[in-house]
Amino acid sequence: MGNWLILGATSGIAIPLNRELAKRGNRLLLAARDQERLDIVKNDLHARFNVEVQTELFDALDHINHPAFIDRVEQEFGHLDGVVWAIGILGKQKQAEEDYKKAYAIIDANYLSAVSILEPIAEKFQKRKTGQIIAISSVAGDRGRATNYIYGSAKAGLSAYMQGLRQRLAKSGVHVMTVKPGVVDTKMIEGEETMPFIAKPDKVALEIMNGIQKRREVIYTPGLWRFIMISLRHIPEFLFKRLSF
Amino acid sequence: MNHLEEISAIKVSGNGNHRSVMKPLYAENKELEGWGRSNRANSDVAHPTDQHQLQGSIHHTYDRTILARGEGRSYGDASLNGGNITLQMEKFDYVIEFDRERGIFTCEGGMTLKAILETVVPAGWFLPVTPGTQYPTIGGCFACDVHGKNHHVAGSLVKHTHWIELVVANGEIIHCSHDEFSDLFYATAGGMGLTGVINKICFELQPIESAYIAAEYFLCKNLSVVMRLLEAYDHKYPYSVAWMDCVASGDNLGRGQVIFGEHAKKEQLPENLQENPLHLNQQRTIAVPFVPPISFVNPFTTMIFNQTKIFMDRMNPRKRIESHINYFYPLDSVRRWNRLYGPPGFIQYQFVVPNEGGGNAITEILQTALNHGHPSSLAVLKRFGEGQPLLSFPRPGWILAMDIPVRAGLFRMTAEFEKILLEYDGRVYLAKDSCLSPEGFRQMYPEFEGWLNIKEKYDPEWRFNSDQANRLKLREGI
Ligand SMILES: Cc1cc2nc3c(=O)[nH]c(=O)nc-3n(C[C@H](O)[C@H](O)[C@H](O)COP(=O)(O)OP(=O)(O)OC[C@H]3O[C@@H](n4cnc5c(N)ncnc54)[C@H](O)[C@@H]3O)c2cc1C
Ligand SMILES: NC(=O)c1ccc[n+]([C@@H]2O[C@H](COP(=O)([O-])OP(=O)(O)OC[C@H]3O[C@@H](n4cnc5c(N)ncnc54)[C@H](OP(=O)(O)O)[C@@H]3O)[C@@H](O)[C@H]2O)c1
Repeated sequence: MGNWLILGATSGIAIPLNRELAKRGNRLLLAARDQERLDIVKNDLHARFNVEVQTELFDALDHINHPAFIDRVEQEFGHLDGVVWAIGILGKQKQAEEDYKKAYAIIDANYLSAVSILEPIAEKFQKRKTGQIIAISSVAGDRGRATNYIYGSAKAGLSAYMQGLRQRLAKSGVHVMTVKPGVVDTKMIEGEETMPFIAKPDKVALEIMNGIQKRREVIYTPGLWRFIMISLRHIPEFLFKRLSF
Repeated sequence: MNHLEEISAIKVSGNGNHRSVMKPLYAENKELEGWGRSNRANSDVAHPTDQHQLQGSIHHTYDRTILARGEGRSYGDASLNGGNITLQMEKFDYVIEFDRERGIFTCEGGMTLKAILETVVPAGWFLPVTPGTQYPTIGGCFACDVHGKNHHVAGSLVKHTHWIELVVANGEIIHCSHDEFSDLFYATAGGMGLTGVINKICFELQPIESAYIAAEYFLCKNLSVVMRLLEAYDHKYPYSVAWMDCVASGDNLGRGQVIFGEHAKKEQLPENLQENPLHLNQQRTIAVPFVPPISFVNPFTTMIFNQTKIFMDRMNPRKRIESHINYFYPLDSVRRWNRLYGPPGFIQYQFVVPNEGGGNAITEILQTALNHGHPSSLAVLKRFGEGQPLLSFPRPGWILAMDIPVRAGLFRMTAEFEKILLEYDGRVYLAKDSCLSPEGFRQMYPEFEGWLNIKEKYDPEWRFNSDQANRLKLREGI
C-alpha cells in the first residue's frame, strides 16, 4: 500500500490499472489534461473501492513546470511510493515524414516529456532510497519499422532511458520497470487499419500490476509479444529491409 | 477490421487547459447477433467513450438511424439495427456515486450487472431486481424494464430507479424520473432503446447480510402441482421460480422443480462462512470456444439432461445455502453457452398470461410444442405481480419462458402460440422476441399508442430505430 501518481490517468491502459492499484488499497493521485474525464475516473475509483483519490491537471509538454509540479504534488499528497507513466501519442507516420513539427510532437509526447517528469521523481526516490517507477513504452521501440519509426524511435528512447535509470537506481533499491505492450484495444489504435493480436486493456493492466508486485524489470504484455519481438529482432537487416509490415 | 469510417469528430476542450483535443468517433461495419444467434445484422458499430461522443454521433449522422446496444443479451432482434448505426455502450462503465449508507447507486448506462455486484455486494447491498444472467448492462436492463425472480413482490427495475439521463434525438441530455419528464422516463422503461441512449442511471439497492441465498427445492410431478405450490407459497418468499421439463408428456406434462429463496441471514450460514459472509470466491467458468457445426441441443439430449438433473437433485437436500451466483446465474458458469445450439441458433419464447385461465393457456402451449416436435430445451415458470405502464412487459399472471432450437417449422408453431396467447389475453416479452407479428404486438400492447405519442414527441424523425421496430412496423403507427 502506498501513494501512487498516475501520469496519463485517463488513458485506456491506465483506467483498469488505476482499478488494480485502488483495489489493493493504494491512495491514488490521478494526473491528466482533461478535468472532466479526471473527475469521472476519480468518482468511479472512489465509489468502487472506497479509497482516497485526488486529481491534478498535468500537461506532459509543459516541461519547464514539471519539477514544480512534483514538489507541489508531494506537498499536497504526501511522499510518493510509486509513479506510472501512461502517456503517449501514436501520431501519423506519413504526416511526420512530411512535417517535422508533427515528428517533433510525437517524440516530445512519447520521450522528451517522460524524461522531463521522471528525472525529478527519480532524484527524490534515489535520495529516499525507495520507490517504484513504471513507464509504458512499447514493442514498437524494439525494432524500427517503416510504418511507424518516428513513434518507434521515441519509444526506443524511452526504453533505453528506463534501462539506464534502472542501473543508476539499482543501488538505491528503487524499482524501475519498463512495460512493453503489444497492441491494446484503446483509443490510441482507433481508426487504425488491421492490427494483429489485439489485447484487452484489463488483461494488460493486470499483467502490469503483477509486474509491480513482483518487481519485474521489463515486461511484455501480453507475454506472447516477448517471442514475437525476439524473432523480429533477430531477422538480419538485409532481409528485414525487404519485408513489408 | 473492415471498412472504418469516421462518423463524427467533436472538439473537446481540455478544461483548465489551453489546448483542445479532437475526439473522432469511428465505426466499423460488422455483423452482430442477438443472444439466440438466429437474428443477425450488419451495421456500422461505434464504441463511444463519453457523452460528447454520444451527442456527436447523433448530430453527425442525420441521414441514418441509431440504436444503443449493451452486451447483446436480448435474444432476438431488439439490439440490432441493420444497415445503420449501432452504439456499443461498453465504455460507459463508470460508477458515478455509491452511497454506502443509504444503498443508492449511480452509474453509467454501459456498466454490467456483474461489475455492479462486485462493487455493492462486499458493502452489504444487492441489486433490487436481477435477470437470470449477470452479463447484461444496466442500461439494457432498464430499456427492457427487466424483472427477476422477485417480481411478485418487488416489481420491475423501473420501480427501483430514481432517475435516468437520456441522450435524445436532438442531442440534448434529459434528466428524467418519476416526476420530471415522467412521460419519457416510463416510455424508456421497456422502450427497447427507441427513445434515446441511457447515459446514466440512479437506482436503489436492497440490503443483504450475506452473499448467499437460503433456497428450498421441491420436485413436482406435473404442471398443476407446480402451479398450486407457487400459488400457495410464493408470497412467503422474496424469490420464486419453477424450472420445467418440457419433454415430459401425458400425466407428467409440465413436470418441474419449484425453487424458493431468500437472502441468507448471517446466522443461517454454516460456521466457516460466517466470518466473511459477504465474500465470494470468483465463479469458475468454462467457455464454448466456437460454434459447433451441429446443435448439441435436441429433444433427445434435452431428455437426458432433464432426467440427469432430476436424478441429481433427488440426492441434494431440499434446503440449501448457495452463493447468489449459483442461485441467480447458473447459466453464466458456461460462457457463450448460446453456441451449443449450433449454426441455426435458438429462440426464447417468453409470455405472460393472466392468472385467470393461465393454466389452460400454458397447458395448450406446452402441448402444441410437443405436437410440433419442438419441445423447449429449457423453460421457467413464475408468477408476476403488479405491472408498469406503456411497453413494460410484466403484468399480473403466469409467465413462461422457453428456449427452443431453430428448426424447420418453428415459425409455424410460434404463429400458433401467438393465436393461443391472443385468445387468453397474453403477451410476449420484447427482450426475447424474434417472431411476433405486427398485429399481434398491437393487440398485446394496447398502450402502444400512448407510447408512440411520447416517442414521436422526443424523436419525430425516428432517429432511433431497430430491426425489431421494423419487423413490428412500429413507425406505421397503430
Ligand atoms: C440467460 C439469460 C437470462 C435472462 N433472464 C432474464 C430475466 O430473468 N428477466 C428479464 O427481464 N430478462 C432476462 N434476460 C434478458 C436480459 O436481461 C435483457 O435482454 C437485457 O436487456 C439485456 O441487456 P444487454 O445490456 O445485453 O442489452 P442488449 O441486448 O444489448 O439490448 C437490449 C435492448 O436495450 C437497448 N439498450 C441497450 N443499452 C441501452 C442504453 N444504454 N440506452 C438505451 N437503450 C439501450 C437496446 O437498444 C435493445 O433494445 C435474460 C437474458 C439471458 C441471456
Ligand atoms: N494502445 C496500444 O496499442 C499501445 C501499444 C503499446 C504502447 N502503448 C502505450 O501505452 C500508453 C497508454 O496508451 P493507451 O493505449 O492507453 O492510449 P490512450 O488512451 O490514447 O492514452 C494516451 C494518453 O496520453 C495522454 N496524453 C497525450 N498527450 C498528452 C499531453 N501532452 N499531456 C497529458 N497527457 C497526454 C492522453 O490524454 P487524453 O486522454 O487527454 O487525450 C491519453 O490519456 C502510451 O504510452 C502508449 O504509447 C499503447
